Amino acid sequence: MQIRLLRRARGLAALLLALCACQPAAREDAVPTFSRDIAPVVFANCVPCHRAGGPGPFPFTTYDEVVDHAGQIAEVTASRYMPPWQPAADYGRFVGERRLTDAQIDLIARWVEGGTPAGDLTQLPPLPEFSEGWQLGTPDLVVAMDAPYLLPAEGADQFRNFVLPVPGDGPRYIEAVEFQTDNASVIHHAVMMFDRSGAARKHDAREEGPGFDGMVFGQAQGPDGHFLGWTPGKQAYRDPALAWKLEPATDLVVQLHMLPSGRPENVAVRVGFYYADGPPQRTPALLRLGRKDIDIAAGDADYALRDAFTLPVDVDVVGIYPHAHYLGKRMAVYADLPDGRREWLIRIEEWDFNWQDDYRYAEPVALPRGATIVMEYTYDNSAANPLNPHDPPRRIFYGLQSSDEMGDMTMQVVPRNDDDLKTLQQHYARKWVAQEIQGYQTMLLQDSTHAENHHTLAMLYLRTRQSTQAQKHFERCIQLQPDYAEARVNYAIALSAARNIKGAIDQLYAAVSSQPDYADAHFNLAMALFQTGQQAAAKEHFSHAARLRPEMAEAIHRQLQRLQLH
Amino acid sequence: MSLRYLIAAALLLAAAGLVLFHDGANAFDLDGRPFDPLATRAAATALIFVGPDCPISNRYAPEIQRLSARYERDGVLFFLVYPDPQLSSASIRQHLAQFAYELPALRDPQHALVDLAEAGATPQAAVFDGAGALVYSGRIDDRYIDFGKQRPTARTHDLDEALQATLAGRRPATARTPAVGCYIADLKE
Repeated sequence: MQIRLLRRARGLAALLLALCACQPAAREDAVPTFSRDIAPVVFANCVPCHRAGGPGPFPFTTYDEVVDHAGQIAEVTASRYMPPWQPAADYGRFVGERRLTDAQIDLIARWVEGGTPAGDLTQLPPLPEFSEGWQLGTPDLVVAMDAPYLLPAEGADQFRNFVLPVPGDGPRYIEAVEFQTDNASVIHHAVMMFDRSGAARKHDAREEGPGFDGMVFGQAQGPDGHFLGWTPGKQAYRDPALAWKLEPATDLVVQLHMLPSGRPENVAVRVGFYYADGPPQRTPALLRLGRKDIDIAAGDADYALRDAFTLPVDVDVVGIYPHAHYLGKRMAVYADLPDGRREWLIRIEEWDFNWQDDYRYAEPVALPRGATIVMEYTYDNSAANPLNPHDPPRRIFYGLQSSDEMGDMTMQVVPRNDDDLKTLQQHYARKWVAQEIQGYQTMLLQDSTHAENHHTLAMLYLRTRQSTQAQKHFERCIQLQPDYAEARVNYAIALSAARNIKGAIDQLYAAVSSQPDYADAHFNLAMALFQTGQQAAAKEHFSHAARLRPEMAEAIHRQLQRLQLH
Repeated sequence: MSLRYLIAAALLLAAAGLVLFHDGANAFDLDGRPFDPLATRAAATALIFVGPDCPISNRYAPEIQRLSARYERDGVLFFLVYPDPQLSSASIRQHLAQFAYELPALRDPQHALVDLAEAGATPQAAVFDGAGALVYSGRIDDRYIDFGKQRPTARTHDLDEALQATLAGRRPATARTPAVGCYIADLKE
């Protein structure tokens, strides 16, 4: 009964719409036809992905192709599973929104109910044109995988990082990046970062086949103030005003989230770079809000997370990238303005990790100094959440693996000028360190025997001048791993800053004895010995350091001379 | 009896005109001959409805292949059934090769088997007992909850359980489960 009433109401709405549109030809009770009503909606909204060679599973370019899935199309458009677009309407306007109107969804439903009539197929609207190659034309630089990666036929989703060397010629300013693959149907999304440390390359070499597994990038980072992501159906764009610097001789790290298809698949990707004429007029910054002290009890169906940051300067918000894993449920990000108004930045009612994306605002959102950016996420760690990676549910902490949880929101903002950028970065750095401390505390809560995490946490405490805390974690670190020479050297530096030279010397002796070829340890030991008047021993360790690091020899020699002058 | 013998026997029965569909609708083997997979009197028969362009259906290919190989030893006959009337035998053969399927495939353009098995989506599994009665129809396992929504691993292996029960002479604990996939009703001639 209720359903029937609803149908009648829908019929009435259609009638009103038809009257408003004032089209004498359209009868209000007419069943929509493919050629007149459905093709325009499907061609514009579905065909960008559902076409031969596109990332969607079946093409929707002809009447027959669409009819073969008509009932399913009606259902998935009604549920808004398709077209895939997570942000709620009216909570931020974005570039490339893939959202059908209620009227369009109703049209499809009535067409299917009416028996999917073709109409006059000679009157079909033209299919949109898609360029076969690069959307933006031939790139100035293309980096590609040497060999494809063989994705197994089955198994869980895979996260894998591929390291693509960028040739050394530059630096260059980049105004557009385009991601290409021959196998878009198995790639759910891609994130691109850069690594100049060589760490990703080493990691790659340790694992067989192209790339290495995991969601952790190591030391790879996005280009200054930019986030480079790709999802199926995403349109590439040029933005010379916000060009960024591509350093020469760096490694592009492409992280792919891949979904096995039922047969082994070859996966290869190419990334095209488009050069800008010169540096950008304004430099953006990335603001990451979020919490790293996530600790969700098993069974908690409504865990709430909140973070906020008050802007010290005016900014334009250009883009936003909300991020959580499989337990994430609702997301809300807004700014409370000094005049009391609330500016919505994004809202997602039912988060789906598989359709994560970064969004660009149709118009930059201007936020004044004093505006407080707030993020509020909720999580469902109950058995009722089918996406829960653990069955039965377990206590979940912050972590980088997909079975851990995250709660981040990265926002690309453009300050008015370089002074404002500096002010913003200073304010933000304090928040960042506090957030990192939370994260390492949380990770140590799960595994208090992780020496490296104790070391990192100690270093973070040093940055915030909490030396008692720093000392505690250095102690615990070297207790867990006595031969951790780097930790001992950093501990020694902290001790000597606290005027405990004797303690520092003990640590440095331990460091050089566990790692005799560690130049920095010898150098610091020499400095400490010199300060306590042990000239001969100091000299010995200076020369050790100079021998181990010939490129530092001259600097060491100068240091030596300077000290002897005192 | 090995799978090959059973299929040969089935083909002989079909050739002898023992096609059991009541309303005149037929399924066909890939050579275009009418074929009744239930005329074999196997210990149990499993029909797996699949679609070559259906991603969920394809993702189950390794699992379908594994289950069919395991139950072949127990005398269970597995058939892949293609309900899309537009599909040619050649494109079905291509699909079998692409997904390394090693089980017999049938075309069901008139939806004779679809109706018999109460199949609504691809992939969907139906189990018939030795007497040819439908004892299970539904999902292969519960990995998929909805379009685009899948559990990291399946919690219930419904087809597997239905086959075990049938071979043990029991009725499956659950006779019907919902199948998530592409709608067969959309596939008309």
